[in-house]
Amino acid sequence: MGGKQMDNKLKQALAEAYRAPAPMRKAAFLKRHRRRELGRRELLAVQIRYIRWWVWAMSLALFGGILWMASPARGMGGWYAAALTPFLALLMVMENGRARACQMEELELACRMARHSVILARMVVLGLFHLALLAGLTPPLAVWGAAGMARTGVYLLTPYLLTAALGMELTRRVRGRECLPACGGAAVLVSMLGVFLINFRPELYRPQHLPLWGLALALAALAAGAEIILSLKERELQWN
Amino acid sequence: MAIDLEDQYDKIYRYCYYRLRDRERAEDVTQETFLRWFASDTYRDRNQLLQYLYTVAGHLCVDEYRRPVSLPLSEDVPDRETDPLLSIALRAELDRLSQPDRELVLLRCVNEVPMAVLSRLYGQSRFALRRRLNGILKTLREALE
Repeated sequence: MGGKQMDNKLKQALAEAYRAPAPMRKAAFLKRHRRRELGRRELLAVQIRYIRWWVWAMSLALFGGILWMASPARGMGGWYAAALTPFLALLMVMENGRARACQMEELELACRMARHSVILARMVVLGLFHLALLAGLTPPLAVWGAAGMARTGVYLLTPYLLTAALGMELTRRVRGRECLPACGGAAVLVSMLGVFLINFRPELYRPQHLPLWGLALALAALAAGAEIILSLKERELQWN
Repeated sequence: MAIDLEDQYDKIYRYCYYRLRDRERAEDVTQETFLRWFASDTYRDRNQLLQYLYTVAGHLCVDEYRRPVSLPLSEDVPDRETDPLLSIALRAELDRLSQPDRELVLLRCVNEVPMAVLSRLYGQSRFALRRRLNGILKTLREALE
């Protein structure tokens, strides 16, 4: 008798040998009792409440600050104002790495949902809110800076995504409260880079350099995407 | 959560039945096991959940039936479709196994519990557990031949 055939026969025989009488109350039990799972909308609603009020307030304050700085009355120019967008990203990164910074990840692990779902939901909530703010900033800045919507959007989004990617990398690598100054430093660095470019390389903000900015934006988006995937994977490994 | 609740109910019930040898009590323990999971607020991936269910079911079975008895498997088992001679030989061989070994065969070969879960349930490395299981299966195969 062949080995595989023998194994199948043994498997079948074992299934028969261990056959139990059919359960009598299974259907009624499963009909009456189910584990209550959180739906996606419910999870998002919980995460909206979890994000601290001052993160929302600071995001709105930064939005107002950028508008104020870029307004023709202030005359600082939209690109100076855009140097504030890294701080929006900093808020997002710090809120996502909050449990890690306080070394309280196990609290997030002891919940009904997979931790990566929770983190992803929080990223989606804050990320979409910030994208909405940046989208709200684009038309006035485009008008005041006499640049097109696409150019303005690229100038605003590139430092945001770059800071988000750097911040997520740092929160993965630096444990505890040290990651706050590290991420703050990264945001300041990106912000200063923007100010430096405006002052010393203003030609980079001309329309002919838009493809270069497009490339920078694509790279920043790729890096941020990769960091999100790495962060989610790492969080699952921590659980294991 | 990628588990088929109905399928897992049957498997946990079969496990309880072969520990308690009593249909009613096995079903009570199975339902208590699932109720505990339904009431639990902690997320568990598939393997962790299987480990949790079997651990809870095992403990509840011990609570239910503390005296360690080793009854032959032939009692109260419903009609079977395979060759009766084959079954008799296999049953005789299964009866000769120790209770933990018989349980291991049930969990791995009938309930198809992953080795990763079994290694945590038995507190043995996968390698050691696979070697132990292969030894048991070899004996059973010889009995069938």
